[in-house]
Amino acid sequence: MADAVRRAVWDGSIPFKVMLDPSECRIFDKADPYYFQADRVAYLPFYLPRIYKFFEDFLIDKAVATVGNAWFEVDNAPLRWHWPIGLLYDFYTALDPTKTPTLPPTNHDRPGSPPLADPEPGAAPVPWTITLRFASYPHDFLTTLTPTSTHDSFINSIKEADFARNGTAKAVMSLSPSDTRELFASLQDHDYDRFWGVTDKLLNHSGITVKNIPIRIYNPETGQVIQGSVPTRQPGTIRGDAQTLGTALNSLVPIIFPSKRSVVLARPVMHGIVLPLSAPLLDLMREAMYPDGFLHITLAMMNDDNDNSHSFVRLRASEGDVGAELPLEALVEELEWVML
Amino acid sequence: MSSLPFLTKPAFATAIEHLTRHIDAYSSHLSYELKSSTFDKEDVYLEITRMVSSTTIKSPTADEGDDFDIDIEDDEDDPEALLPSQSTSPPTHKVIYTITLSPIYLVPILHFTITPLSPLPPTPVSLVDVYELLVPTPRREELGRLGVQGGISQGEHPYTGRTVWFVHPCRTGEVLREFGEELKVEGYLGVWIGVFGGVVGLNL
Repeated sequence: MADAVRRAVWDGSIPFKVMLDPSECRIFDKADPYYFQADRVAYLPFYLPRIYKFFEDFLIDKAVATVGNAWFEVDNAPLRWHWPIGLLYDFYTALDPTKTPTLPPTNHDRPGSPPLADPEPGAAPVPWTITLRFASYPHDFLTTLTPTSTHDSFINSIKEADFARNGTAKAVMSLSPSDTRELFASLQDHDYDRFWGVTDKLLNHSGITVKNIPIRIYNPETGQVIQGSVPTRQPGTIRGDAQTLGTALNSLVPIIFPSKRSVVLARPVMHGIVLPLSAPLLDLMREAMYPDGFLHITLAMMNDDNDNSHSFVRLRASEGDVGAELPLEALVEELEWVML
Repeated sequence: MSSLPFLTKPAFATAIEHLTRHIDAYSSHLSYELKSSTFDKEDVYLEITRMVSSTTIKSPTADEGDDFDIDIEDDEDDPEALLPSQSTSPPTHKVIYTITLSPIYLVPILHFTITPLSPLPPTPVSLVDVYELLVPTPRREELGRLGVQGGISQGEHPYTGRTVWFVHPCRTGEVLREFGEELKVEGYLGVWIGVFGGVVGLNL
């Protein structure tokens, strides 16, 4: 299936458990949690109205705790409205898909059974528990949510990605007004065919060949975000070799990716899976980019791996084999596996 | 190698150096600080602070010299007539602008925050307030027509991660290209502020 990777990326989702901030709750014992499944490619504001509605009757004062000053928090970090949900999860959990997910205790746990071991750092929490808050909106870290703000930042990102790809934002500018509206509306409706119907026009704009690939790399340990526009072909190579994810990461963050073929200090993670360094970057962009046009890649740092001391040995051992390009379709199985 | 209007990091650093020299010489009403990324000292940007009074913006008069001698192509009136005046009324808000280089657009981006000063309550300003406080009246309609909600958006600062306002950079390269050979790295930021700064109250 030609669009299997796109489908799998589009269908990726994360189970959430939302708790109401106890200080906002009029019931002593606290409100029931709200469970929902969120699309990785979507944004939190899409789900806010139904979450608010669920908790409305638990609120001490609905006039003070309004949708307008609602925000979400996880481990004291406010969750950005304009980051895709998949990125929020991969970043704030510092997700390392090679670690075993931490499943919640089940009813089979009897009293007296041994306590659960602490989750491994980087292991995926399932469901992801976040808190709905209303007091002290963290304006320094969160943009103000308005009826147009999510749409606005999404379109800004689309334009930026278009500019990176083509050196102009002509492809976006040449979309009809109805196509432009459709980009965001189809994402809100989670309608794959409508979204890709328009986005394919952007990626295959006549007379334009993609020159660069927009990419953002997020380091959950330091909070550093590195953005770049990476040429589709490796500069300085005689034949103009196609850029792979490994060559791109090596050029953008050589300290963390000293090798183009093997991971040494960090694994690149996107959509909940570890990306192979051998993946051709242009294909990765066309098939697995987020709807806003970017590859949002988080880093799973390997400094707590037991076998880290051997990583340079591993590196040397693998330097010899010329990284065979992995067909992108090989990712589908993994993407489907992470859909819980 | 820079091919203007697009800038490399070193060319941007040079452009900042020239701008600060110009501010030292001619624009004492602005205070500035050279900053750099906490991850890379070579990765520099400029922070400029200015006090505004919410009443000054409504009574523009032309009194500032324009040493870059920019001929803005707008078929609007004389751009100097749109400059907010340096008023004597006490400031009501502190505006902190930063000029950073976009690694995607390869042109500068103007970000800013607006903080109300005491005795005003420390409530954050809204998009409507931003227009009220910084955008000269004749430019409001034109700016408001762009994009989904106008030419000013909210986002996160590329170096601090804090919430900031910014002016859309997607047409910057296109507009600056019109200056052709006249655009040099040395005067680049002066020209750029002339075209894009005044829209949000930053004038040399």
